Amino acid sequence: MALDSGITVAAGEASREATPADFFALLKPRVMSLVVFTGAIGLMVAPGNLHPVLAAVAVLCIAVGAGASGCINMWYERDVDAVMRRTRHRPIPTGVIAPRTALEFGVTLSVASVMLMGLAVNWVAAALLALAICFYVFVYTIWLKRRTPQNIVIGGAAGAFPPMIGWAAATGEVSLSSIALFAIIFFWTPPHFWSLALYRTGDYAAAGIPMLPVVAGAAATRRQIVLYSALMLPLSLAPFALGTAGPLYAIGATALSAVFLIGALRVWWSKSEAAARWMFRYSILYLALLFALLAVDHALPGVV
Amino acid sequence: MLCPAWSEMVLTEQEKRSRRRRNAALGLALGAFIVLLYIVSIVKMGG
Repeated sequence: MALDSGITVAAGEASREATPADFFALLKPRVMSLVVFTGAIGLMVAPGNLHPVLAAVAVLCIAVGAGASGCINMWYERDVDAVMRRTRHRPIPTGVIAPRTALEFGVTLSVASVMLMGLAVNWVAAALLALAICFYVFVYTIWLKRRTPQNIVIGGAAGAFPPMIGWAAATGEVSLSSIALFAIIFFWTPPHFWSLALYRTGDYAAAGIPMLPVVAGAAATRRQIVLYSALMLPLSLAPFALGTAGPLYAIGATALSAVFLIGALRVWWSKSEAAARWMFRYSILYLALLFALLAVDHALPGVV
Repeated sequence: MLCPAWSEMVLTEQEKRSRRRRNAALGLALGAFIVLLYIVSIVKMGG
């Protein structure tokens, strides 16, 4: 079967009817889980007083908005997804869901999540959610991804919005502390994705995506990973410096960021695929633990 | 008035089943959205 993008798919997959699980897969659930987590922590540590039901609605809106932008991304990237090993089994390249259906699904969910956030919570959070969705779709997916090796550096801003949206949901404003949470994810994104790109260079090259290892080579990418990882050490302490978190967070963040930097240095000097794989996996754990620490520190003030 | 092509369209049993399932899913999603808006309204009025 040929899709409108000219991709040929296996007849067996194409003839299968789409299930709710296929539509759920369009929302990139693994990415969504980290987005929901950081958004919920932003909401939790913000100095606001939001009704628990409205807080749950805010988190739901962040989840649906993030999923919807992922869905529109899959619609736009369907030709590239069909080429890459990691993505060729997604519902659109396999022909299980028609590209137009995916686009309609993504746009509907985007509009619904922003409207619900505005009506139920506040319009500052809704505007930030709309900005995050538009940034991911128009700036990252359509403009940068196929044009520059800095794609995930600038595009990383889209994934950094959730804690800021959570914060705005609770307080109705954007503050320096919420910008610090944004900055942590923004500067974490390049070493995270470049570690993956180091051992998937062939895939990205075949798909024509100018990731840094494809364009500048592995050595330059390893150097950049070390630079960004070194930045994480002081940056992760910003919530402590701004009074959002206490000493418990500061101690934990220092330890986690030190391991992050050691992992980056290992990628640099060992030049092995194993080190890059370890760094990619640890980077996910690192961000999750860093934000979990924020929540624990907030729930247990004065422990240290 | 329906256009001729539409009125002459004959769906297979599988297509009819698919349409029913799609309609049910859309109905459920809309219902859930309405219930959510109702709950939000109650909470906001209470606050």
